[in-house]
Amino acid sequence: MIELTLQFLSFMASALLILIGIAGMLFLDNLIKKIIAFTLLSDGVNLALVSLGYFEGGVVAILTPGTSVAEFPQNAVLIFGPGIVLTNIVIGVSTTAVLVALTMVLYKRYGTLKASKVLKGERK
Amino acid sequence: MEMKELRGSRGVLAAVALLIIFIGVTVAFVQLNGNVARGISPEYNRLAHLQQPNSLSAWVYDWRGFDTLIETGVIYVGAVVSVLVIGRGLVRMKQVEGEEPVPQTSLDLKIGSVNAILKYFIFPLVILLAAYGILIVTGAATSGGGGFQCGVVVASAYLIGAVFFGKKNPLNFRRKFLIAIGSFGWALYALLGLPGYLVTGYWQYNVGTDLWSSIAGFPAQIPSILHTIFGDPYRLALVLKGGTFYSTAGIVPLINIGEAFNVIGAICLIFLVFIYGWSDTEEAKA
Repeated sequence: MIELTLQFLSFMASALLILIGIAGMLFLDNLIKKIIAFTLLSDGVNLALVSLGYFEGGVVAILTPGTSVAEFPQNAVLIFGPGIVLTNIVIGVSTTAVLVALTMVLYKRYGTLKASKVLKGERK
Repeated sequence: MEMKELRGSRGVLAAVALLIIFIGVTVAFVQLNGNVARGISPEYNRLAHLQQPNSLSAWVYDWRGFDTLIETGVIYVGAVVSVLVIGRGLVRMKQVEGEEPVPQTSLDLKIGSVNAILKYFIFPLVILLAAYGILIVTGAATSGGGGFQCGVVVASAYLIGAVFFGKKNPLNFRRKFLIAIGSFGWALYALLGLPGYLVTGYWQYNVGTDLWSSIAGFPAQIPSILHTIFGDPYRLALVLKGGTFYSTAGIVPLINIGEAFNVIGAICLIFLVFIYGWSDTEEAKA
């Protein structure tokens, strides 16, 4: 029996975001909407990675005055998830910038943001 | 693909494909739920009182410092590719080689329509955002922020200034300046790995903190001069339950500054090229 923990619900939310992202990228015709779907997909992956580090009763992995040195290693959340998310955000920003730049060039060339018309090579 | 093409059998096939993907992703997550190995995380949390209060920052720059160096290069490559695609139109498809390059026109920003009173509110916001970015990077060893966060905040300040003030942006970064600080930041990050490499053979080894040289089999002992140069300036007294510990983040604060410069350069360059384009005449006008 699956327990409805916060981690499980978070995983399900990220699965949903990933699915919406994939569906949007595949089936939406507008290039800007495809980019938005791509960012949703990326956010879903980020949410999954952050959720990996979560456990019930965990505390943020920053030492604050008065923290017990002995208890901190076991109480702090796992840091590899948020660490990988940092990478993913950087890659996401770079990729989105390039996608938007390419979209602008395609719009200037074809006068439309519809992928179907761009693929057919219909010029304005 | 247009939505009307998804009617009939193609739509059914698409729905089935999405269902298979959803089931695959969900099953993977269900198996992960509650079964995540703790890995290296507790080790860094155990050493946090000797290194720096922010374990995440220590992990990012120590355990995967080399990865982070490459990742810092990725955003700069993203900025350069954006400039190439938008600005000069160098990326052209093979079948349209004979055509004219993409026209060089800047985006239309209706600066005049912005209320003058709003500008008085935005000016201090831009300055405060830039100051907040500097605050984040200088406190990165003890707080949750870092070089990337600083870069994004300062770039936001630049974008807000560009939207509301246009060419009279309080943060009037020129493209040569952005290229210079971006390159300087990446070079600073890369070169900070050199002392560790020369002494231990490990690039990005944190010679200031020196957590691992006491372990048997470690290739070298770190000279005390490197502790003095890279460790002592960032020493903190942490008053914790269990005693007072004199930790030092070592080269991490310097790496954060390098990454901040790199990200400010890269993201502001992306914003600049989206707003003003890249032709020489636009730069002269700005």
